Amino acid sequence: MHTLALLIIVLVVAIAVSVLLGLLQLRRRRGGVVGIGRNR
Amino acid sequence: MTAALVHAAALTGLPLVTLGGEREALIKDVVFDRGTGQVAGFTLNNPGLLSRSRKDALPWDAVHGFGDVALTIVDTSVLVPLEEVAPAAERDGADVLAGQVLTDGGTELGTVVDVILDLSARPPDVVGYEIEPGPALPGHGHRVLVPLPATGAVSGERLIVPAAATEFVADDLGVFAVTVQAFRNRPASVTEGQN
Repeated sequence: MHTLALLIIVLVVAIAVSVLLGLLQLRRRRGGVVGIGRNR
Repeated sequence: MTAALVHAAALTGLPLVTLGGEREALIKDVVFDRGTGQVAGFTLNNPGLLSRSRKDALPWDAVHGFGDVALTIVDTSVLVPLEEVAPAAERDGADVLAGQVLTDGGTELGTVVDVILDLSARPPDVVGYEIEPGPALPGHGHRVLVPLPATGAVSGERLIVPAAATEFVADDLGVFAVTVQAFRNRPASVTEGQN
């Protein structure tokens, strides 16, 4: 029983970490087009 | 010279490689000068899974080679502090993506989803927007390319284009290369309203 609970916890943590890493990667990759200076 | 048009989004994420073969960084943002409409440089990310934005940047004049799979530099000594390419005071909130596009007559055309660059110019020139069109562009249920004038191209939170630009929209880059030239070479009488 304890082993099953531990396994579930490990799985949930692994999924959470994967989602977090995916979001971080998505944020990091999303570039932009930045305008600096003044208009003419 | 034949235009070589690309989406700015195609450049973001490209690796920055030294002539020694080291993958030094990834391109994060394309930085352009609003006054000239020309690319000033690029902000960078470190490569790797948990990397962060770098505190240095790549000025355009330090680019050695510009290909479809990588940008090359001689070595890392050409990189400059981020503040020199994109000062923080000007960088914050200066991303034109998702900006609202208005004509100089006050009509909303849509929102910017990408910026079109002409790589045949040195430095590359911002020649147009890809926009998600609003009701003012009837018959265009899909994204379209709107040309920009050769000077004073890109503005602030709201992006202003001459009303005449709506007559020169295109659906793909091949056609857009022609329509940009036609828009910029149109008779002076048609350019009334540009400010």
